[in-house]
Amino acid sequence: MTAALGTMPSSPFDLNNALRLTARGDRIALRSIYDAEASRMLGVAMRLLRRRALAEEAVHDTFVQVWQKAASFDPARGEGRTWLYAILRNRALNILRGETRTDLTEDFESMGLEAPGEDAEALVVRLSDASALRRCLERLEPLRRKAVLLAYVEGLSHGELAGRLGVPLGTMKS
Amino acid sequence: MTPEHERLAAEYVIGLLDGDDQRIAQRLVENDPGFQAAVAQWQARLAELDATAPPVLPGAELWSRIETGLDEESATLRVEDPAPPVIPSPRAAFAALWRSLSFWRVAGIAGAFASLLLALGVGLLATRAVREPVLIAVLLTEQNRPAAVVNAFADGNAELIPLEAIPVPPGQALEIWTLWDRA
Repeated sequence: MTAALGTMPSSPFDLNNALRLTARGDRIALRSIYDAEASRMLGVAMRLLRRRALAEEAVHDTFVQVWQKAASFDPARGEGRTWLYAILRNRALNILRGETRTDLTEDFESMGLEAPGEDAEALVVRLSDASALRRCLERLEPLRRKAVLLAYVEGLSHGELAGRLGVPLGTMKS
Repeated sequence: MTPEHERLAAEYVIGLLDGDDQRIAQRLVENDPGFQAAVAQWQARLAELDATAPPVLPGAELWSRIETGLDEESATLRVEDPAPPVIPSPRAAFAALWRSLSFWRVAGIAGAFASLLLALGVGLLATRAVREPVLIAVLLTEQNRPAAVVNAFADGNAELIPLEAIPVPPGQALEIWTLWDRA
């Protein structure tokens, strides 16, 4: 392992660099991304998928994809963290939509939700005061804000949002 | 970039789309640079929301499952994957070439006489994890079609993965010969 010591970035964790090394086939770099991000990634996937097994599947698939596609990450086009979570979210949304949506809703009651939905307003509060996103969200009317947050965080589609918030679909899309 | 596309990009990133809208957005994100840029902007804007997710500690076995996934991925030759668009180093370029079946096909045709192609990569991949092969050879048929992959590992083991059924006459066994490339 001595040969790999030089590739372990010390804090703060340099994700862009770890991705660069992963692109060259450095598994220790991939592991360092896992150590730094996996629990946050699992948290994001749990909010979307609710069930731990599905959420772990999304994180698993994301790391396999990162291994395959790290060379296509271009730091000039954005942050490594954004790139990583975009892959995770895509994977989780695909699982949510295609593969298991019916299954998920059928089991809603019996399985119990491991991650109860958080109040949308509480999410806004968690964003830092300096956050441009927070200022932007606070400018939206409450219903619209709630819609955006529920959609992003829990993966609700237009139709589901309309049902959840008791709003006709047309209003939701506008 | 039409306002319609801008809205679609935002909704795509937020995860609101399904059905036809999702398919349209998916096609745009693969082919339309303007749409890609809008998507990237929305991803960056909304990324902070991901940071509000409470961390959930993964089970200890998740990483080993990922490693198994990586091994399966590298043991399978991916035919349709194009070479990555950004190739930052000669070594990565070589690794991409290494995995690319079409390269082997072309190389096989170029060396028309060769029914056996041996690529020597000893040491090249030595810094990878132990189960990464140090030598990969693709065996071609008389018609220059890949028939099997041989992976040799640093510990002296080798495995042969047939890509199609290899008929063996009764009473006989397959042998693999390695020959020095005199060229």
